[in-house]
Amino acid sequence: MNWRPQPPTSSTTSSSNVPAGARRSYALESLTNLLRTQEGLQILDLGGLNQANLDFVTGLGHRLYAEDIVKACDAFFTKQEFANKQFDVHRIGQFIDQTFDFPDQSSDGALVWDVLQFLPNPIAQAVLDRLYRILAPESFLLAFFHPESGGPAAKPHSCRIIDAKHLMFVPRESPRTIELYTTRSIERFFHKFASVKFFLTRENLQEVIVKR
Amino acid sequence: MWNRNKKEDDIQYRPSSPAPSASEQSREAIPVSAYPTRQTEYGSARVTASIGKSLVINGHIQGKEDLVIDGRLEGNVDLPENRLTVGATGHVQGGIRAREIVVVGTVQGNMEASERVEIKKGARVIGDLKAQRPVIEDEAYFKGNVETIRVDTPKPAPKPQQPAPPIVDAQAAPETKPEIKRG
Repeated sequence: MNWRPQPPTSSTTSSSNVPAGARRSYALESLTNLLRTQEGLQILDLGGLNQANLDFVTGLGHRLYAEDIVKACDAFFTKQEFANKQFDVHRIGQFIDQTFDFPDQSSDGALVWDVLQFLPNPIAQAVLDRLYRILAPESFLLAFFHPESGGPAAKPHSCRIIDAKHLMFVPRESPRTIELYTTRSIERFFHKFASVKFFLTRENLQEVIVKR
Repeated sequence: MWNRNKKEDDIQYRPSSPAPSASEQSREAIPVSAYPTRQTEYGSARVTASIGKSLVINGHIQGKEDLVIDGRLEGNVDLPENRLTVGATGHVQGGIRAREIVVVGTVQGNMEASERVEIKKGARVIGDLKAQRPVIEDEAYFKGNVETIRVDTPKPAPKPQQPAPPIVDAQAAPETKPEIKRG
């Protein structure tokens, strides 16, 4: 990709600069407004690092911690475990400890993108429980939930920030299948958190901003 | 290997002397061209030191020349004025400090570059990264913290103010009318 994110300081965005395939994201816009209010925050990006997100977040004066959770999960658990959908609690604990080696309440935000949908449910729940521990009170989490179980939407994506209002979804290869969540199940999923705000898009993609 | 530059200099700048004896000739039979400028596959045409594929080094490296690591290093690298390249077969387990760092292989450790860090496609980096310009290609695996070093560019000196153009008093100026010539 040749495009670079717009300077985060610009408050308005002209749509002429947005590359084809980019989509408007109200959740991202809301999140950017939060990020602009402070500097030096510690932000987690769980979708794997890409240049666009790195430039955007560090351009706002924050630090970015990156990890590709789906890849890390594929590397840690065996094919047998994925095939049987049987995950030992201790193994999940080991994976979480190895992947999220942070002190409690040490992070100020998490860009989860659509990652949770591509983790088996017990692992996704364990990831979320750990995120709850490492996120500071009043911090936020951005997550997306695809509505379909087939088609291009049902693949993990690399989510790239174009500017404060636009994102681009680039599909990436992964053997993981999608786990579907309804609005109700998403609310239950984040029940420990203080609030969940939904942004419904044209394609029924659920954009969620969760406050710790 | 490490003194390649020095050897080159020695040979090149040796003062002219009478014809050497046969034994001296055999000792000095290596022409300068036997130490060619190493053109690395990573785009640098400069002479660089290198750690070959089969080499395993346990210990710290510090110096003032560019370095390419294609082997395995367990220890820190400190090249504050130079460029370090970890090649496709290279593996570094330890901290790296350099002016410029390019990773094509694997690094497990923190990296700090006063200028640029480039993590190429297929590279694998686990550790924190601090640089003025971090560049991460698609399909590179990175796990860690990224912090950019901000360089405050000095503000340009204010331009000397040019004298304002004289204000013409429209009323004082003689009124001119276009002259129409009629044939």
